[in-house]
Amino acid sequence: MLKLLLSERISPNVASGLRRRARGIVVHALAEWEGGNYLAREEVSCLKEAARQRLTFVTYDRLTIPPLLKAWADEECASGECSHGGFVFIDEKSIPPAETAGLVLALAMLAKEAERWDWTDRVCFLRGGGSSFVLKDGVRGIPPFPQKQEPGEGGAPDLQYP
Amino acid sequence: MKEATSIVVSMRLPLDSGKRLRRLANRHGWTPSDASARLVEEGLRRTEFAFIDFRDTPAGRQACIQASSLAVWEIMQLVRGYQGSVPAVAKHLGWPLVKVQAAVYYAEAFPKEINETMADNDAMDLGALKHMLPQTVEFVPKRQTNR
Repeated sequence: MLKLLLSERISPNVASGLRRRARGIVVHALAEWEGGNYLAREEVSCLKEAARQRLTFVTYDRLTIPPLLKAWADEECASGECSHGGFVFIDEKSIPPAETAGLVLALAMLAKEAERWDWTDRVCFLRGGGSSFVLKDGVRGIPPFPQKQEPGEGGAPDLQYP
Repeated sequence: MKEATSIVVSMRLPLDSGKRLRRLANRHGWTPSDASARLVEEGLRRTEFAFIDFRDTPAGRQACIQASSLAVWEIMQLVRGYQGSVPAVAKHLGWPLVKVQAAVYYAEAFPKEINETMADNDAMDLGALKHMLPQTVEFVPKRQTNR
């Protein structure tokens, strides 16, 4: 089962949206994870703890994290001492962070597809299928993210890729 | 006559501080003079800008927001995504407005630094990612059929 840790740049609404949409998935938002203790610490300590807990880290940051993973692979993994629970790099051009519902949908689809994957040392580049989604009635656009739902209401709206 | 772009300041440091400065410089591949100039500049910016901190990253020292994992350039990417709306970014992050505004003011003061970092992140596309991490696979969610 995919266990996700969402970087701080991803809205905490994505974590709650994913929990509603993909039942059984484990999702942590970095701001809440471990009491927020890793927010102001160096990236490496956060990523090492995530690796220790076998969490798959989801991020838009392709500047600082890939060199860190490369260094791990070069220096430590060669001796078999280091592995991680996987990384998902999101393409902000096709899934902008502002499009919360689109990100929930893409991650839910990844979680479904990757249900049986072994995420050890896996790296995934997540790209949206298009710049917008098609709602059930054929209207194109990014659906509003459901902020609050009454008990008994459904999850995120039914969406299809164009 | 050309105006000088730097000045020489000599300073007296306690012995222990000098050793620590040399160690820091060695760790980053800087000269002790470079290291002290950078630390002075960072100290000045910390004093002049609210909520700003500096952290080591594999991409070099970066301006960050205090008590956050986010660098200023990452917040500016969000600002760009929200068409410049600071309140929208504050709501997205669940932050007070002033913290996002502080990042925007810093980016306005040092646009070259922030824009270059954002461009470096943009340049790390799937191809570049695969070069660095060969196990990378692309995942595009499958289209769903109409019901």
